[in-house]
Amino acid sequence: MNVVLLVLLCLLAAVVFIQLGAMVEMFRHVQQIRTHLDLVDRPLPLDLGARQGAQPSAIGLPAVLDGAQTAMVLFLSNTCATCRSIAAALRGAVPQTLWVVVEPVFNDDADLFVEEFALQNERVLVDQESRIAGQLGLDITPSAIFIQDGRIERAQTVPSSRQLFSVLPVVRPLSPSHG
Amino acid sequence: MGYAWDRLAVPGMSIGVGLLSDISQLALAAAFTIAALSKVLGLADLRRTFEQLGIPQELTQSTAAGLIAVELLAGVALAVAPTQSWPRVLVIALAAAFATAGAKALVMKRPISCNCFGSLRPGRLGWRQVWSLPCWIALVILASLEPATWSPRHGLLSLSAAVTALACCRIPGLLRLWRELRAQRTALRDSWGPAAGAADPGLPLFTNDQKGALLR
Repeated sequence: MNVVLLVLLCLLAAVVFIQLGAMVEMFRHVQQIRTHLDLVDRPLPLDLGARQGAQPSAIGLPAVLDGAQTAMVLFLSNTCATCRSIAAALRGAVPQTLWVVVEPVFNDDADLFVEEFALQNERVLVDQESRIAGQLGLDITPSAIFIQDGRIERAQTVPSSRQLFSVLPVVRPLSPSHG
Repeated sequence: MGYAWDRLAVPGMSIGVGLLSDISQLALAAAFTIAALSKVLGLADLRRTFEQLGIPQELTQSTAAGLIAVELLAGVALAVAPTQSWPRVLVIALAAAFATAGAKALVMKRPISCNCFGSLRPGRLGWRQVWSLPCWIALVILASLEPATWSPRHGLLSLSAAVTALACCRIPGLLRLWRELRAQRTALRDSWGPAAGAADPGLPLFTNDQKGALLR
């Protein structure tokens, strides 16, 4: 009887081994399909050209950003689905290091967009006639530019709220010195 | 392994050589069993390997199945019948076949996937198989120095423990893959979900920036 049980145990171990291997294969397969279909939540770098290193005020952003140590300017359009999901994820609160520029597309409902997602905040702007985006050469949303020491450092797409929160600059207050 | 530890308690027995023999025998058993089980998942790849090595296409299926069966037989026999010498001879025969395949791939100067351990350890046929032959022979010699005399029960138990342990080794990688896939799925669901306006069919939607949601 014991030997029968041990044989069953061996068979069970073999089945578990094969099942786990099959699961790994299946997951890799799904990953491959997603990559092939471009269904991947992955930010893409955007080329800023000559605007890289420029002061934010030079492209029409608020002059206060010229003195910002680190900040992120997020460009959302009022019609793109991902932009709406990102705006919803903010839940009406704009983090300290984040500025939002709303791009009105096709209509002038940008104010409605701001109202819908409770984004009434001093760090939320409406880019009438897409002047700022035009200056930057940005033609896709949602995207973001990053400001470091008062200069535009780089730009990238923001394909999801997960990516937004993962790249959002964090400001850590200086702790008081002891002693 | 219970038997191996029992040996330590037997006075007058050459503990070092005996233990080394036991470990070699178990390592061979585990290696061949795992190799056989891994090949089950990659049978099509294994057939392609045989095809590239020059085996006629109609024979690749039976050759692949035969190799898996022989490897499994060798692995199980090494664990269950440690006193028998034929499983060790079978191991040398298999190792010689692998070395021949490696040498043939080198002569053909073609990159041929090994599929020795299925997807567990991807690699190409070549020098590794050739140089592995002396290692396999050394392990067989070690296992034969003082042939193990454990019972089939101990052998089965050890074999199932080894296979389970190796199966468990895949779990961290599996979890990593699953977490990444889940995060991707959640991100995409959020982008296309009701918050994104997908619930409102009248809303003009741009599915995603990467698919060309143009500002102008």
